[in-house]
Amino acid sequence: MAMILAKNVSKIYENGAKKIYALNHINFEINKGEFVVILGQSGAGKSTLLNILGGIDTLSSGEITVNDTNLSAMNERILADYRANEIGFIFQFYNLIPTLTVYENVALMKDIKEDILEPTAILERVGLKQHLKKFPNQLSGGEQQRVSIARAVSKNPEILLCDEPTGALDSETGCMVLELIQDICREYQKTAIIVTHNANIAKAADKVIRLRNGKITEIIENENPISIKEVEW
Amino acid sequence: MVMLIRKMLRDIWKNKVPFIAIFLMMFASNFIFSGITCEYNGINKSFHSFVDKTNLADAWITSETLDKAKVDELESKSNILKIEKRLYLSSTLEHDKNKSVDFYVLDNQNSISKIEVADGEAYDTTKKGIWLDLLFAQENDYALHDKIVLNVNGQLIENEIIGLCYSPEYIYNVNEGEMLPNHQKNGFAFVNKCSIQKDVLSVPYNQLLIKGTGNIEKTIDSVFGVQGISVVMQKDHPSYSMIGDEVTQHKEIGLIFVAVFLFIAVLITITTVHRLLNSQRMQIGILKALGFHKSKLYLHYVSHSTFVCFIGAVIGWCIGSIIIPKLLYPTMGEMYVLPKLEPAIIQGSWCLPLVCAFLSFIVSMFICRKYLNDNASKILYTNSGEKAMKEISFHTLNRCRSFYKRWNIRDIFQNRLRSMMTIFGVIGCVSLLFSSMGLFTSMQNLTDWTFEKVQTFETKITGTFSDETYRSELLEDTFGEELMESSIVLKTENNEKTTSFTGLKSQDYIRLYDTNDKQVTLKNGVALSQNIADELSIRVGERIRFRFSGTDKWYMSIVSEIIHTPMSQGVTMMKSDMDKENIPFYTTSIIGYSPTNVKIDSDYVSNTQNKSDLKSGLDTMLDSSVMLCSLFLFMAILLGSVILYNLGTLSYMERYRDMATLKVLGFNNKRIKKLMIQQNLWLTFIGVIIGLPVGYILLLVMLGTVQTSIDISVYTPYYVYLASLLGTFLLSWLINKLLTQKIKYIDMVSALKVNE
Repeated sequence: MAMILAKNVSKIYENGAKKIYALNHINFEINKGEFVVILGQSGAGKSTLLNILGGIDTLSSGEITVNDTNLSAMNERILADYRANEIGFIFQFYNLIPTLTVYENVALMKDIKEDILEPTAILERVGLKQHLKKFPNQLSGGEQQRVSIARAVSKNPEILLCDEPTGALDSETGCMVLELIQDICREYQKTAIIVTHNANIAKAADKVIRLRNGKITEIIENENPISIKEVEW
Repeated sequence: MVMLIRKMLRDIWKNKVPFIAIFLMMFASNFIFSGITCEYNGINKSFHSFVDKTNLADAWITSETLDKAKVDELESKSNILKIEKRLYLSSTLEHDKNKSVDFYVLDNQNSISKIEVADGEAYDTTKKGIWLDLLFAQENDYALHDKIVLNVNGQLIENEIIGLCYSPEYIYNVNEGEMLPNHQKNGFAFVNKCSIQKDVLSVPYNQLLIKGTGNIEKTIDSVFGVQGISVVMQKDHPSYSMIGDEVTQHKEIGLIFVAVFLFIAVLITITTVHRLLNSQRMQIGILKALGFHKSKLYLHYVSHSTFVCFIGAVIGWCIGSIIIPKLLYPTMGEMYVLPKLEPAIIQGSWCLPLVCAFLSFIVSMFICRKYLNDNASKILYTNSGEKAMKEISFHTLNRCRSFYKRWNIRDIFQNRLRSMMTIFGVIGCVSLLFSSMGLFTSMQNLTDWTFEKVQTFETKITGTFSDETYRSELLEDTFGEELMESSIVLKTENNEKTTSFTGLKSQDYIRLYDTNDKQVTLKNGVALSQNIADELSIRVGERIRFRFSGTDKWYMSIVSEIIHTPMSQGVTMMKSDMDKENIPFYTTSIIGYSPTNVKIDSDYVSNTQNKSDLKSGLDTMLDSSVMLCSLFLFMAILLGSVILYNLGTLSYMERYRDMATLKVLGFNNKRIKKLMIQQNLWLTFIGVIIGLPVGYILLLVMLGTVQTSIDISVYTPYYVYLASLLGTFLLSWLINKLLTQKIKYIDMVSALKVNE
């Protein structure tokens, strides 16, 4: 049984009489624990799809179910709970709270979820134990992204949604970050969905969904995904 | 350049909230400034033009008998330019003894303190007839060529009214103990000597009007000494001094408020320009990369606030000069009689809008330096959105368990300027609220204090009570007591001052309160009013010397009490002590309940005042101040709303991305609202705590501008504190409520998409 099921999903932006399909009748399934890469050029609809999956955007038609729960039937309050409990977001520009320390950025999650993973342990896991008291602006880009990963994972969500997580990083740091995401997903049995335009990452994914002009052009299931370390950048 | 102007106008439109705030503050400060300056300058000019035109006397000498030789000697003095003689008699209307007319018989010319004829014949020494007070005539339905019969010392004098006039000596004219002119009951009339029968003229001239230069007082003193004469200098004449005090008061109050509004306007300009430049870093980088010269960009970004400031200032200045005089002149007209009262712009006051624009220009220049001095690549490729955060090491902060608190505390410190602006804005709002409400309650209290605590009598009957039978009957009928009111010259080692003297038989109807407002009983010595004590630096236990005006006998006494008395400033002494010191006690008034049996329209009674008349008189006198209070109260609310909304929006904009992140992470709107409201309430709280004492100081300064003849003490009951406090919090809460509505509409997708 698929954990995420998208049926005939469309997202339409209306510009006067003209309709623009950001997503055009797409269908896919994602199983629990899969490491999924959504590939596509700019404007293909990858981020829109990720935002809909994350409950921060709504679909125009079709249906997406996550663990048998229909996202389009949720109201604002339930969507906030859904994001708090089921989703861990990792952003391209980290989106850390600048006035909270590394530790506090992660521990902040206690305010919305009681049973979060111990912030110190998770930060130690992402290699930031020595930076707990630092503020985001005192960290490098890679380190900030690691805080963002720790924050996403700390809620112990079912799904990690990563929007171009390496987009603002150099290749070496980007590789380290992706490796961390992959390792953590395996370790904590999380489903990870990564949006990227870097086709090379596809080789490391369990499933690759290619989008073009809002339509899925191909879904590839890798029998033997390679390790991130082996990806050529 | 045209494109940059278009960009400027669109930037202003896009950031309309803070720019509207700048506009309103500049508008408010210029509105008040031009309005108040126009108002007081108008009074001042109208007054001085009237006084100059009518050649108001520099000094008045009043004496029962004027020695001709001494008058001639005075006239021969080098610093005395001209002297005119006249006879002053008090009179009443023949058919209504309650209506008194100050009756003057002019010796010859009327070149000093000239009357200004509004209707009828100009003054002429040969014309028979009477020139009557225009307002008295209007109030009593007298018209030109009507006959008027006056009862002068029991003699009926009938004259035709040949002129209706104003007099510079009657610009401010109230009966003793009254606060507001009553043109229906009091008036004046002038006649030349040919209009008067010989038997009336058998009374010698009793007033001299003097024009001169230098120290006229000293010259008079050298000729007449002090015996038998009473001298009033121009500066001490109520028509001159009251209006001067009024002008000073309006000027000072206006300036205080202008300073507050300008200060706030500058603060808002600082935050707005910061915010604009911060949000346009990319654009600045792009414009620089495109080759725009730094000076052009300076001019462009400085012009945003300067343009809005200038427009707000000019509009405020123009409207203020029209509206405020219209609001205040009706109440001024009830107090002062001037033939013409027109607002007058102070020359050079139009500079204020320019000064405001220049101020904004300078402030913006300083802020622009921070943003425009870097090179294009640095601007384009550094992340400006996140400010450098240093580790905050205070333990208490780290002990805060709530992240909201930690976040907000750090955000306050991180955005010190914005936080300071908010605090200053709240200080401005709460202090204006407090001071305007405090001014109102203090004035209200002045009436209550005067008529409920200090003067408890119902009626004050003034006159000459030489007939002992009549006096006794009146005392019995009114359950009253005798009162002596007179004028004295008070002398200390270094100072001399003419002030009032009150002789009391008991303290039943006039009570004395010390400076702590505790009732005191005066037995021996004198009680000195606080204003006079402060002015002459006299303390309890010190000796003072005084003589009654027109006499040369000096008395000495000890100051036993410094008293807090609202209206009659001067010396108070008990009759028992006066008797001991051989100070004569003359009954000038009887105070008590309203008489029921004894007639008060007797020849002995010159005036009767009831508590309600006195009370409404004082209320009317304070009307213009109350009008100012209301204006400032409105401005305070406007200021508070604008600044709190502006800074709230700024805070919202600056934290927009953080709040969007929180929303994405699963925080619901309620929690995010709490985060936002918490910070604003904290800052409001700090502002209120500082604002209340600032408001108190502001109130003291404002009350300090009130003329020394009135002692208004600060009266701020708990509800003034409460209303200022709750008013500000309510305002803050309402504005927060309005702002937090925006949280619902945070667009998580687009907020997280861009880096800046």
